[in-house]
Amino acid sequence: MYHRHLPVDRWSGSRLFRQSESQARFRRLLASFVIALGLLAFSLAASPGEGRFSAFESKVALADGGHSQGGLPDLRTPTPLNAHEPEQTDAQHDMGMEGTEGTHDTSVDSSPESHEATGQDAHAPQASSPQNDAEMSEEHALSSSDEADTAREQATGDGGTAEDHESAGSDNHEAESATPNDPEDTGSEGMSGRDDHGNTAPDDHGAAGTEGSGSDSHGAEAEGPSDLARNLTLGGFAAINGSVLVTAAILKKKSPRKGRNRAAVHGTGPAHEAIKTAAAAPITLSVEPAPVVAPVVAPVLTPFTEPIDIADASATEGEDVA
Amino acid sequence: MSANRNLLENRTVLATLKSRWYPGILQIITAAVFVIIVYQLVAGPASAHKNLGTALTWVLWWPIIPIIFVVFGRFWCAICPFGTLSDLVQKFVGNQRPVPAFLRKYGIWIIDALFILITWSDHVWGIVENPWGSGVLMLMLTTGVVVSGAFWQRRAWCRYLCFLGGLSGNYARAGMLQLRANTDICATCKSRAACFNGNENGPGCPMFEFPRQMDTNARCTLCAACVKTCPYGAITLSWRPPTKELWFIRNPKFEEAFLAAVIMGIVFVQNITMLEVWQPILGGLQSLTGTDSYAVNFTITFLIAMAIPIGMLMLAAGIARRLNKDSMVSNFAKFGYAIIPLDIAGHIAHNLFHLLAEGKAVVYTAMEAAGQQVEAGSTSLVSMPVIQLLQYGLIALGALASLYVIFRIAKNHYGQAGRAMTWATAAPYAALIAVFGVINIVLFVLPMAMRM
Repeated sequence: MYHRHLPVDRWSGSRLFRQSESQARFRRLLASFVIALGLLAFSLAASPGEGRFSAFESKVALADGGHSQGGLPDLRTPTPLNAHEPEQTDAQHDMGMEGTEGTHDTSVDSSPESHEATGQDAHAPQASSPQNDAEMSEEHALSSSDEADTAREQATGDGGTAEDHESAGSDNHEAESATPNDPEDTGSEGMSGRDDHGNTAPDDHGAAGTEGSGSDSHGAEAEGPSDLARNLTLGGFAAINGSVLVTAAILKKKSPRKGRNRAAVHGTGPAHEAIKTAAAAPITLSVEPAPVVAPVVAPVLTPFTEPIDIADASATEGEDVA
Repeated sequence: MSANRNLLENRTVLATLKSRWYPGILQIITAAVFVIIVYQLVAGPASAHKNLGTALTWVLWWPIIPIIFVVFGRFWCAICPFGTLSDLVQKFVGNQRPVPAFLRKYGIWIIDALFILITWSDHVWGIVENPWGSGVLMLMLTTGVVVSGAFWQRRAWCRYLCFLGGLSGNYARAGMLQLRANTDICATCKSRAACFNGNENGPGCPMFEFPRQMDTNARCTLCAACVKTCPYGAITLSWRPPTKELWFIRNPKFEEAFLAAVIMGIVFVQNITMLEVWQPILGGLQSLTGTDSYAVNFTITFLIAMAIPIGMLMLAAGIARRLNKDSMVSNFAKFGYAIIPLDIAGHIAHNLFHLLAEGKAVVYTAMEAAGQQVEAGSTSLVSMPVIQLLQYGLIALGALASLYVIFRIAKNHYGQAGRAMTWATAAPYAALIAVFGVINIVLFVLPMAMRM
């Protein structure tokens, strides 16, 4: 009965759009976190046994029957707690410095490669302005029932401070909403390349192979995590954070504001076309997963990249060398 | 020096806080140190007593941080590298979404859970004693900060998720430096809450606080954003007697009182597991549980240690409610805050050992990280008897402060019913603090193991 008075097609179209957009956003978010978790699981699972969480492993091992070794201090390997005795504090707590390893090799390529935004950088054009900040603030003021409640509780009758708090935001909101949309605020359709960061497979970190093959000069300590595992850890977290940042950048570019986004999509004219053009442009973000991949790939490649030792070869292959 | 004197009347202090370099310059310094620490933890020496990251984090920073909270409130949070990272992420890719309602409602419980989980993880996986474990913890926190900053407004992480933020919030209530707004000036304000919303002079309060109504240090980081944005100079900064805020908490929250009790349990755990008596306890647990799994036996100890202060506080609340006819939850929430001074004392006393008995490790590891050869030597700055004396003094001071807070809370809430009611209500809690104090003293009498 009432529907005939409504612009049915536009109404249903708008609702459909909202549903599909929110669903798509959720899917993107979910996919991003799944990728991140997968990378984390990969990086943890691929680390060698003597490396990561060696303290945990040693504890488990001892817990399985090794308690005769002497209890908690031993449990806390690889950095055993020095069983404390009162006189030990003042005197000879062994810092273990006598064996300084001048050439302790920390030159591992362990720094996570930060993702680089090139070309149509999703987050480059976003300039935060006081207006935006103010708008966000009032949005919080409008939505933050917690603060508002607190404010009401604490209002001392001097004019309704809580209401001041909220209405101030409302004023700002009205002022802000009059500002024109800018291109990077919108663009819910035609976005591509959101998974660019996952495809940068070429791994040119062959140099890391030397670490994989055991050139770590402090390997003699054999009590801590290996560089490989460290690389994997760093790489895992870099990948997660990179993934989150990319997701955030995409979301920010696509739909920083629900209201604005809808308005832009249903708009017409040159501004709308400009928005569509900007939105359709692919996002070219490249994230190098080298710290994760290189240590795994490098040991495989090492036999093919290292120079052949004639003496060894002769020992194993005999007459061929001769 | 007057306790209520507004420090912002001093032109140097005001200029410093209004400067655009504050707190940015300090943030840059702490962020740079943080990068060095994380690099050392993840890629440096695998042995804790050679690792600069471990020394800087667990021997220097962690013992000093509660002292900073007591003196300057949550000032650390203003210059914390995680906060800086959150700001940067927000600036470049932040979606500026409102903080979800569940986070606002249950944030403090999440903080409680995280704090317990991290402490548990430390003992089961040896985070503190394993540089890499510490590094992984830092990286996990970094990930949380990045996620929070990428999606939510302002410093949602610091206010609703950071476990250290929860701890600092509780400790800062006992802090000596407070930032407030002059409500007389605020009553005539026409700036549309510039302190909250921000203006051309700077952003609004990153901690979602409205200075006009702020009556606690728990969420103020002294970042001075409101000092910059307030056009009327309504913000004041003044010293106050330590613990004063605890006397007059208008809206006590059960979860915050719960955290105060949990911290006491954590202090117990940290102490017990570093004592020589821990081995017999562990052995007894093994025979009791029938398993020698460290994780299982420690978890039982951990739960008991957590349950002791919580249960005892509930017991005291149960006794007190019979006298003051208030509800048990209300009693728990009101008087749970009184444990905070003893929490702080226990926390500082425990870490004082690490700071003073292992302090030179910071210098040694720094020299080694710089490529210099270091002669082996003692890491202690003072002798053990001196440390123990300081620990006893701190515990006594903390217990006295807690007792006084109990008296003030009882007087504040039940004073109208007469002095007898005040004393009767305070008595069970005073007994509770006495028990906690004695337990702490006993724990500090026993010899303790080192971190490095």
